[in-house]
Amino acid sequence: MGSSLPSKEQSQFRQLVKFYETKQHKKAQKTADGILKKFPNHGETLAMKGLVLNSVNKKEEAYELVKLGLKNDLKSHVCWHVYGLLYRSDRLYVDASRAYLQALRIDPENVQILRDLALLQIQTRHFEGFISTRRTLLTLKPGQKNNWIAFALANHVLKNYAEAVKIIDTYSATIVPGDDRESVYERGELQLYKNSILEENGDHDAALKHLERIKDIVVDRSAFLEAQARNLLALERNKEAEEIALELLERNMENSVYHEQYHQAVLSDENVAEEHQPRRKIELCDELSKSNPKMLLPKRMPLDLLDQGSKEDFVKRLDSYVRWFLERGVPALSVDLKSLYRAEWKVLAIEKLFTGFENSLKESGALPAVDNDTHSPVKSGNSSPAVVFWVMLFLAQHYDRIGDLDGALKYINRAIEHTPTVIEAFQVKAKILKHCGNLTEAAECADAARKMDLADRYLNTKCTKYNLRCNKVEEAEANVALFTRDGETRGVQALYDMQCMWFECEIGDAYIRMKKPGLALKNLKAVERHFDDFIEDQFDFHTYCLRKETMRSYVNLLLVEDEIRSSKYFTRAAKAAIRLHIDLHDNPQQKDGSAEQAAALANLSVAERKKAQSKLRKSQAKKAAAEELKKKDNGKADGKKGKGGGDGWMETDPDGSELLKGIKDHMVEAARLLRELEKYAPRDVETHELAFEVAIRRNKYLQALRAVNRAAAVQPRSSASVNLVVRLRLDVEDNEEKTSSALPEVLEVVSTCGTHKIVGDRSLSGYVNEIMTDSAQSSDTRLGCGMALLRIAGNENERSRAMEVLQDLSGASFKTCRQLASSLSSFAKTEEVESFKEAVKEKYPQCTVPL
Amino acid sequence: MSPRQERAAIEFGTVNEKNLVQLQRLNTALFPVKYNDKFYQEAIRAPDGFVRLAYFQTILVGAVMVRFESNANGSSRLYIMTLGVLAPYRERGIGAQLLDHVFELLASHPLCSNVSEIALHVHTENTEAIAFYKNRGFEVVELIEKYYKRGVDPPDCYLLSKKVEPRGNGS
Ligand SMILES: CC(C)(COP(=O)(O)OP(=O)(O)OC[C@H]1O[C@@H](n2cnc3c(N)ncnc32)[C@H](O)[C@@H]1OP(=O)(O)O)[C@@H](O)C(=O)NCCC(=O)NCCS
Repeated sequence: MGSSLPSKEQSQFRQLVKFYETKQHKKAQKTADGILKKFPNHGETLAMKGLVLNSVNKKEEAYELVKLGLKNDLKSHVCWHVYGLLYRSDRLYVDASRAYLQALRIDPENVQILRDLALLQIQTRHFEGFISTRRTLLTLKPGQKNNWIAFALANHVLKNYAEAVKIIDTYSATIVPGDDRESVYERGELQLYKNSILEENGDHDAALKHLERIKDIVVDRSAFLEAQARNLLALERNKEAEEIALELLERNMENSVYHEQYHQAVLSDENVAEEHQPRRKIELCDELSKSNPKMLLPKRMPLDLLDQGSKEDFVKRLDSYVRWFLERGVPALSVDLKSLYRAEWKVLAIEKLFTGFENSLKESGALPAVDNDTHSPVKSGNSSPAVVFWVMLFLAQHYDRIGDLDGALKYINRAIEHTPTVIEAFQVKAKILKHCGNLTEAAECADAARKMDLADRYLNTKCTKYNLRCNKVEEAEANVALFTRDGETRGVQALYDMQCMWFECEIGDAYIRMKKPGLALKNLKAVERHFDDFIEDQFDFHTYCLRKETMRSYVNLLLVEDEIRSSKYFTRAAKAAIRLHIDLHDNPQQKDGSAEQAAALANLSVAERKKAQSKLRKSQAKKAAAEELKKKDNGKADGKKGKGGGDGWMETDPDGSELLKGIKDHMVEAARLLRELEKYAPRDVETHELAFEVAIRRNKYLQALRAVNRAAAVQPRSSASVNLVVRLRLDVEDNEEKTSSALPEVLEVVSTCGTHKIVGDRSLSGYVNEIMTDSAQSSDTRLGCGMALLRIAGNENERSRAMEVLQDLSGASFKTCRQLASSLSSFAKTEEVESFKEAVKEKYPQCTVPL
Repeated sequence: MSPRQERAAIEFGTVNEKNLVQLQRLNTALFPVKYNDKFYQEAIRAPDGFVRLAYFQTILVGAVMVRFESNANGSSRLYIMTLGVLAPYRERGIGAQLLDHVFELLASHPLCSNVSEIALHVHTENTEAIAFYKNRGFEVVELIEKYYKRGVDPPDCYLLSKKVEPRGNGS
């Protein structure tokens, strides 16, 4: 380090490194300047100075200096290392790895650089590289325990299970066990980690024997028993598994996994035939319930298991189960029973039971008496008045859930009249109003709930959300600020710093509705950036977990991080952004926000408008390219992180206009996001719907075909799939304008693998009609088919028949109606869209938002 | 008399600016008079124990609010501004427990050592409340005509009062 310098400067250089490492940036810079005064071309000092400047967010200068330093001293591993660190700080992992490797070529045994490289390799899941780096580190420093553990991990992730186990064993044999709590805990954890590797390898026998051996040092008893149960079950050692599962249940009766393991053990031991399994499971629940009468889950599970043949039994059990809630006033009853709503007959039974309660309370002031051969003890005398309230609240939620909004409103109003001080009732009412399309009153009601307990963050969040749903952005921001006020940053930047993604998604949607694409994009982009941060955050764990030997949670973390973009916020923001990009592509005039331009465009004929729009897109792309150049000239002033000085990301370009202007081609940007969705949300049919929209606009027919096939594979009989099949036929296969420009090979594939495969010999409308008749119960599919028929319709007669289907809105939620209205307006005739909207207004007269 | 049920178990709570609106909702349901902001500001700032919320199975069902008033002659009284229980929750002893709380204030609150009277106004038609107080030692001392400004018919009320022995300082 600094070896080419005289000894005085050499020690100054070491000082400089120390200052940098302890984040004393000012002193570091001064020291660097001191050396440079005498040796202005000293490469390593230049590089180090660059690194220091990078830490105080002077990106441009940093890159310049580091590059200059490197140029002056290409043979220095320090310069290459610094170069790598700089890239690493900008999350350019691949470039950083390359620089580290270069540094290692010069100094192959540099432990610091090897460690940094290993971090990058695990971060990028470059396992082959990781294992070789870890091997080198272990060879160099066999005395350090985390080098052993990390090498074991490297083998584990590459599925060299036997090797991984061997390494842990070798390492464990060398350590002298400490007696203090922490080292016992750590030893146990390491052994449990080893055990999980044995299990993952399918070596259940060895895993069980190993568990037996480590029994005394494992602190996490539940984890120990769970491992035993899993391995025993895998080996079908059912009797033993049963015992362990029971022990687990004794520890926690409300864990459904334990129940499932218990059931599996008993049922396979007794070799119970499929059709008798539910009965037997219920018996097992009942046994447990007898000895643990206070536990809820053993009472709850049979309600899911019972089938229609045991209706009477179901009603009896339901009755005694819900009384427990009603008598204690637990508002969560409705959520608890949600899974029962999948069976129509259970829904009816629930309704009958609760209306029966209501009548009995009205007539006698008490719940009906129960015949006491079974579960609940009979209470004599009057029920508490609170029971009346909870019954009404439940009925409101019940009718809301089954779409009887009038019934729901009737009960919630009566409940509030009965007891006007319960916050939950106002929340339930807000939700019902939302389902009525009455977003204005829903927001007022959510605000009423919020005001009843100003200290409750959840109520504040809900209210903010409802405000945003009706585009009340200012109210929402003021509201949410009540909980973000402390600290230095304010407003949206504070929310950004808190990674408040629900807010960014909701406000993004609001701005889309308000036709403010810049602001919308800014917020949706913010969500995307949080996920980049989450992934970056792993770095902290790579070192921490290896040191702490909490390997089981570390491996879990790696798995979670691998899938983190499948989280609902990421997919939601990505989908909204893609839709926005499509809209901006179709209507580029929105981007510049000029009303005149929009008006001028509106006056043109369709063909002329298309031409003008295409011209507009091109000029926008040019501008974006120019912007990009300008930025490059300014160096990498992008400022990845707001921390450490300067404005935060939300505060620079707050209205997103720069962000918006910087996008050259909205379809390219949409395609980029789609690649993420296709990877992380492949089971979401919307992913493929959007992929189709983008593909067709980019004239990528094979991609369009792929999207249709994927949608059909995920949800073959859904509205989405049916409409995509129809559109592929109409917009691609039968569209001369498109097909005339496509390659013959492409057309060949599309026509052989396209809709013919799905539709077969039927006519297109025959195909749609068949699905429509098949799916009589699902209103969403029926309406989707109506829309598809309207697309196909060749004459007025067919059109009006399709419209008939579309105007029968029974069973359709307000949300569905709203989506349909928006889809229809992309292709149907104005008067058709209008008459559809009329039908919606008739069904949802309270609706306060434009459709 | 039929065998009486036990008094309903309640928990007392206090009012602050975070949950003030709950008290407002309760009072709106209970009283024909609409109280203004000043009233609720007084509620928040009232001396310890002068406002009590009653929770039954975690639900706010009743409240009492009193004010300390000193007379020119040096004596003083506790004035009950509101005392009420939501209709479905009445006749289970919750009102009595709220009134008991007022008696306890008299017995132990430092401000109340010289109090010689508890008083309140009740609408002339509110027979339920009048009976409730009479059964607990209150007497009608005055009929005040045109007491209420609006929303109440007839606009008249009784002044109810219960004399108590001042407990005096330190005794
Ligand atoms: C006046 C008011 C506060 C009484 O509240 P409450 O909770 O019903 O009061 P209680 O239950 O303690 O007492 C009411 C009656 O029920 C009886 N009761 C109490 N517990 C009972 C029980 N468990 N079973 C049967 N009866 C019972 C009481 O004995 C009492 O009758 P009594 O006066 O003959 O003794 C209530 O009616 C009210 O809020 N009214 C509207 C507000 C108002 O006008 N307030 C007065 C002006 S400040």
